Amino acid sequence: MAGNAHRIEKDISRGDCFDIIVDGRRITAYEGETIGTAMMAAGLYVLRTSTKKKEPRGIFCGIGVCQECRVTVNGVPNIQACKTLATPECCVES
Amino acid sequence: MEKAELAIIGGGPGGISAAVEAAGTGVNVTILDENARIGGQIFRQLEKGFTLTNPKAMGRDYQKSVDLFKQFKKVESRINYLNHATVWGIFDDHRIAYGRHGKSKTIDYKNLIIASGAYDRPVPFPGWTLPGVLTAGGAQNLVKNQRILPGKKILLAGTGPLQLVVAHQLIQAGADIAAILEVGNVKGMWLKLMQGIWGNWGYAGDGLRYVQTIRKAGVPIMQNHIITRANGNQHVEEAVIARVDEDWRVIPDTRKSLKLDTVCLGYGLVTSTELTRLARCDHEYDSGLGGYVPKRSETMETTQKGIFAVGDGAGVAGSQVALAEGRIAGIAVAQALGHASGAGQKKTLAGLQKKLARHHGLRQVLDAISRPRPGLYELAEDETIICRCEDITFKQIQTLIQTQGISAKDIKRKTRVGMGSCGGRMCGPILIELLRNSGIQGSGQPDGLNVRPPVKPVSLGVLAGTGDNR
Amino acid sequence: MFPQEAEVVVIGGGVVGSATAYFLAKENKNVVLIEKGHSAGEASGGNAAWVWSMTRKAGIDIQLAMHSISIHQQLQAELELDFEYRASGGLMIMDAENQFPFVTAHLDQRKKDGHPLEMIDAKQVLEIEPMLNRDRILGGVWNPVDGTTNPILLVASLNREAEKLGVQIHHHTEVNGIDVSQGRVRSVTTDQGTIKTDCVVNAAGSWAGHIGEMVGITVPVSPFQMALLVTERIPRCIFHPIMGASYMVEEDTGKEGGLGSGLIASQQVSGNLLLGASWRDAGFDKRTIQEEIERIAMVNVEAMPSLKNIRVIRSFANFFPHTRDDLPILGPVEGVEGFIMASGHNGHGICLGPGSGKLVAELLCTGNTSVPIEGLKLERPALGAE
Repeated sequence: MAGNAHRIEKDISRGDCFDIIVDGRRITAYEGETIGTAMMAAGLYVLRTSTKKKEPRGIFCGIGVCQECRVTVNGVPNIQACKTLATPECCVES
Repeated sequence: MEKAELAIIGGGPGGISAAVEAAGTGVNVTILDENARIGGQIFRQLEKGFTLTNPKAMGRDYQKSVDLFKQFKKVESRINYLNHATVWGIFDDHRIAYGRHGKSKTIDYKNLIIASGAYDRPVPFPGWTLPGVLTAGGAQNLVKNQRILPGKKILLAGTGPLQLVVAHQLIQAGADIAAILEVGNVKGMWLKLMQGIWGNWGYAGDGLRYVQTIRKAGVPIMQNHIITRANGNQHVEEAVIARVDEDWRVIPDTRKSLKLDTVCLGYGLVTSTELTRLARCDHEYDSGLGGYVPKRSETMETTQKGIFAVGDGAGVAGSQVALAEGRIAGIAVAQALGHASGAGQKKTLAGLQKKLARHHGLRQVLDAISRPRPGLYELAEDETIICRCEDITFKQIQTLIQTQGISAKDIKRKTRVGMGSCGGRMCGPILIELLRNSGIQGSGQPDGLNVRPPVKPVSLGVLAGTGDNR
Repeated sequence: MFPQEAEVVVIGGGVVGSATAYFLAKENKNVVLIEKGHSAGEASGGNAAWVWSMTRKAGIDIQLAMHSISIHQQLQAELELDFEYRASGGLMIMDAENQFPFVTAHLDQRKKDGHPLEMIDAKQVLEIEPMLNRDRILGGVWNPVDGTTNPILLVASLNREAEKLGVQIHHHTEVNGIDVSQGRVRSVTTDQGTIKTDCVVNAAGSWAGHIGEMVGITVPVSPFQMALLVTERIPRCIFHPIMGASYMVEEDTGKEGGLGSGLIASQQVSGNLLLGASWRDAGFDKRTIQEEIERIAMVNVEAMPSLKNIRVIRSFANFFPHTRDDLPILGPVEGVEGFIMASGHNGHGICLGPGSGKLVAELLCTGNTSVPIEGLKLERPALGAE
């Protein structure tokens, strides 16, 4: 398995969960999670491919500086997955 | 037209402590914070939806932040706090342009405190762009605030005590740490040193606890070791590590392979100087930090009158320093505006300066361990990506660097390095080190890495005033 | 080794100077090109990158443009390094009734002059560029010969061939004096050394006046700042250079102290959108101001509403050598033999540059030029010099 990312259960309780759609696939997201987090939890780490070399890229700096985590959300391109909250039924394309 | 006697950019400890101090004396303060609520990076608050069932689990930072937030609440009604405000320009006539709620707005200021923070130092090596290779700061954010572990088998590679904090957090969250690589050259008194540093950063007592957690978990701390390569197909699956010498150069025949699923790079922080450069403040190279910082007076004022810089956004030194510097700048502004001039202020200032002096001493110790050595930027191979946005390779840049008479500006124009979405934040620090190592860039103002607004990407809709769907 | 002597010294390493040096070298002239900064470091390195003749006026203006476009094509064939020249065709759009008189008058003039342009209707405009605002487009003008290029690559390509032909190019070298005695040029002094020569070409763009002073003449060229925005790379959505007719209407605003603006939009080969434009008198200041940035955004979002979600990643501004009659200054000057003007291309340097270079080379080598340039001399009254 690629990354083995998983939600931490200790010391925390989560709010509602809902579906978001990533590249046509339904995955679970919790209130307060970013799109990046939800994708990671679902084993989706490749958020885009690089400009020239077409190499896989994912979250790097995690705080909105590196711009590596850009995805298209509801048709709007270049949305940073690491800092954009997931919303119910939002449609994400990597 | 919005106006502020004091505009503060940044909602982290530096910005908030400045706001609290200044507002306390009656100064009209506006904070422009990119995030949803105050805290910045280190004191970031949990998103709505997450409820902490055990407050102690958040660690020392959280306790400190609670104190600061309490102080903020006391004067909140006197502060104009603008969240989700992304500053995109600072203009000559004391004007800031920012995007908020889909519109572009302006605010005129009399004084400005820039508390823009810092970000993890990008260090290029073969495979560093693979998904699963992230920064220690990014990993910390995911674990602390998003409550997700980025992987199961994690390698931490970098330098300095912050790595141990992250390791502790990862272990507490259930991760299996393959190893912690400390590239620095620290002999003997290493752990005591770490404790000393933590002690001064307010982590007294915790220092030992972190080391104990790590020891208990059986995690090897490998000094004088570095990651030289990350391998994998769509994700990192293996890391190659090696021993290094005093200059952080790889010692031949010491390479080892580790199977894992995550790599966290913790090579210290780079100060975000986009705003101070945009505001035309003078900068100088801080060799202890390995990066440029704005020149400042004792009261945190930059070379532009009325513009101050505090916290990690003026030179990386942690939250305790940010809190002290923020207060100093807040007092300085209050005094400049005639809101405070008593003996009490003088005493407070003296106390804060003393605190800073202590930190400065410890900073020097830290820098001795963690100051980037030449070997750090010699890991890249020909095809290693330097500019992540535009896919520019090490070879492309090195070829030009070896050309006689080349300047940073030339390299930027010819390769397009720094012309991508991140605005040169990732590749800029790397390029500067490569140029310094080749003797092209001295300690003066960085040439050719000009900043033009918008300093962060802003949508056309926001700039046009018609809004966007972002 | 710094050259001690040359047949021709060209001052200015932008597109005009580089083209001049190249064409002179082709005729076996011994040329030295001096540039104070980087290759294409000034106007030639930061502009809309258009090869545009649509708005060139009847008469010498359009003649120069058409001649220069043929030189672009010639260079595309003969230079080794590709410079991304695309003659995709150019589009002007009309979205307000008050633009029609300007446009119609322009088209009439051009038709009379033998360089007609095709007026097209709104439907055709939207077929050519589907991103445009259906609710606002009233019509347009189409010009199949216009297009875009990569000026930095063009200059690099010209320089490379020129060097192969023996031209010595010195960057980061500043001219600080030109020796004139008995009414003719004798040498050029730079901060790297002195070059003996009896022919100097002033291709110094916005600094042409500064160079003119060195030989005691007034060159009425002043810097005029124009700002542009660059967006992130996005999938291809703009297929041709698009200019708003309001550009023609507003062209003179800003030249009297205000902020002029008009739509110009194109998509680079890399996928970034290059959007403009606004202009103002800012001396030699390359920094962009808020008003410029917001105005450009407004104009572009109005024209193409779906651009609202696209992010701008930087802005830049450059100054162009403005002349009062919007025409370049080409040819010899009275009173200083051997001093040849090749500056003042306003905002049309990329289109006109290669042609100017060819014309200057022709002038110096044969005495005749493919396009008569007598009307472009420094002493013409329309320039307003004393």
